[in-house]
Amino acid sequence: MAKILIVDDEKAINDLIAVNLKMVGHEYVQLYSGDQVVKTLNETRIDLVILDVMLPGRDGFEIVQDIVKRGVPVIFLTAKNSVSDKVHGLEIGAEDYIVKPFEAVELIARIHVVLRRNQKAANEFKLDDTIVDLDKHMVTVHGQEIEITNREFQLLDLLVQNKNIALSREKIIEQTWGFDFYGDTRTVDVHIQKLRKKLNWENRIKTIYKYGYRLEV
Amino acid sequence: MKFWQKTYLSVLIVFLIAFDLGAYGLLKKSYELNEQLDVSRGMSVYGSIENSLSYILRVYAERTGSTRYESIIASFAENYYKEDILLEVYQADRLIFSNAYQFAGNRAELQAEHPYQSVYRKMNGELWLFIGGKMEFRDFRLVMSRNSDYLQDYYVTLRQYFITLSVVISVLLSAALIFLLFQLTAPIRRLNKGVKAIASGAYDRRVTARGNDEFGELAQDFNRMADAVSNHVETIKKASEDKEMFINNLTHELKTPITAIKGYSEFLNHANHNEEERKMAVRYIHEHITRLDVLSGKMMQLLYLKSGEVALEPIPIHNLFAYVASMERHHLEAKQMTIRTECLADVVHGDQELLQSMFINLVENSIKASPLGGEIELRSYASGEGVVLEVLDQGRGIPEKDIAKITEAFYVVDRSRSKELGGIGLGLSICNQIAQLHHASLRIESEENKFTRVSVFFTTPQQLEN
Repeated sequence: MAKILIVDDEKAINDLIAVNLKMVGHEYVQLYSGDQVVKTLNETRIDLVILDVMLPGRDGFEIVQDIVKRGVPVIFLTAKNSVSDKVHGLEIGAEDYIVKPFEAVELIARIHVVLRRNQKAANEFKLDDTIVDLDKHMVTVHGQEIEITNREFQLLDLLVQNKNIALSREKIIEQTWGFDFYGDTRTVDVHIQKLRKKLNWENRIKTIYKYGYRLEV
Repeated sequence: MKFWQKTYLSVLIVFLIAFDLGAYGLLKKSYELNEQLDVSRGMSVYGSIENSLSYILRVYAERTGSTRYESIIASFAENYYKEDILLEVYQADRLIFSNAYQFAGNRAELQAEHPYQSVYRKMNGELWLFIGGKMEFRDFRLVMSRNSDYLQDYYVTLRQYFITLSVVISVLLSAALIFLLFQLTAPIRRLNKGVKAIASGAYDRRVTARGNDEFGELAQDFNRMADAVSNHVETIKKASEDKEMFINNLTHELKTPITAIKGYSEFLNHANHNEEERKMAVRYIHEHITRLDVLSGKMMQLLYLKSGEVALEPIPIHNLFAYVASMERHHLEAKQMTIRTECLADVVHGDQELLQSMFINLVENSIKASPLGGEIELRSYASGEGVVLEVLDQGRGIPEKDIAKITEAFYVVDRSRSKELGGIGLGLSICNQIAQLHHASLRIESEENKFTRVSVFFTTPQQLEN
């Protein structure tokens, strides 16, 4: 899994991102000001930086170029919600821009997209006897390749990305089927049932009562 | 239609009417005078003809006794015919001689009694003067007619001349008028251009005002108005920028605790967390709810202060300092700190609760900045007419670049440290607001890692009245 540098002067927010990253299996380094960023990048291999804009010392907009120069992608995290700020953030080299308050699922999905775009995401996920090859869209159980539909694979990908975090049925539909899906949330249940059977994950994909599902690792 | 066009047309029309009326009057008078001259000349010619003819006829009648006058009149008339003078001679009402063209109609000159009667008559498009009257000889009447067409020619020529003159003068006048009006209305156009520029938002533009006529005055007044407008615009802009900044800061201050509370509650609800993580989440949620609570309290105070007006009452400074020290004794004890007070001035005019709030804020700031076992000094002294109250500590100090901004809402020098100490950057902003309500001013002096001195300069009620 990826190693992510979190730069935010608010300890609460910094820790919040950290626990969520921990849940889905990423490693992380926490910094509370912009001053140590370059030093940390020089000393440690970092795959992605989550960077607050308003920082004591050098602010996020100032630091971003130093990070991008080293080929490390940056996601901005900020309370500023103006379009011009977003455009500015993206123009000076950030890969994405997340506005506070954010949802953990969204943060993780964006991190995942950026990691994948930069080929830093893990391409294999192992759990019990099941191996998921995220690049080739291939799933093997006990060494045997099993058949899986495209939609099922997308759902599997989402669960893997957000392992240990509960996903609501609505969130699953939004992320897997898209906003223009007109079906029932029971469609999600049917697909989950199929995944459980095919992958031998009856105990791994937990049903969260009246909410959704969680892949527990 | 533009002003200069209107002026141009009006002046031109008025001139043409005046000129043409004048020219017409002149023409008419001149023609009348010429006609009178012509008539009097005709009269004298007639008089001499009549005299001569009467004389000839009398002599002829006396010598010959004949009554056949036609031949003698004819030979007499012959001489005048050469001079284009035609004659008719009547005996009683019977025409006995004529070399003139005979026509029908009313002939006033035939009825003339003494002396003579003159009539102008148009015949075949030409003007003729007829003069008639009784002759001295018997009951004879003589009518003389003469061509006076030169009068008409004169009239036509003169009229032609006036028309030409009027056209020429109109053209010259037009040119002169256009040139003058263009020159005279130039300031209006300049003014107009400037006004348009300013109206479209260029508030720093001014119109060029020259001369001390009405336009110059107007331009100056307009510039004064533009100054006032641009000042107001500046003020409004500044206020709106301040407001935007305040809202941005407030949003940031609100978003952080909201993000934390939302994030951690979501985490508690949906994540597969352990006990340690649960404790951390609950702690953060509690911490940030407290922060929101503090923020809303301070915000209310700040908003209340912004709308208020205070009654200034004499307050013993000694009591004020004692109250502040007693309110802060727990904080002081926690850091093993002491407060020293020195009152060189005794009374300050203000609102007791607000002043207490201000000095509690200032002392709390000092406590936060001071090292363990430090000392805070509260002093009062008279300066000029007013009273000065100050809080002095030997703490961390404020970096020079931050001093000017430190009273702005939400401004904190060191965010991470300030958060640890529970500050949100509204304390000094509130103090500043309270000072303003008292017409007092805040002065902050500081040297990093040495000291910070906050002085409040009060004005006396007497000064306020002045």
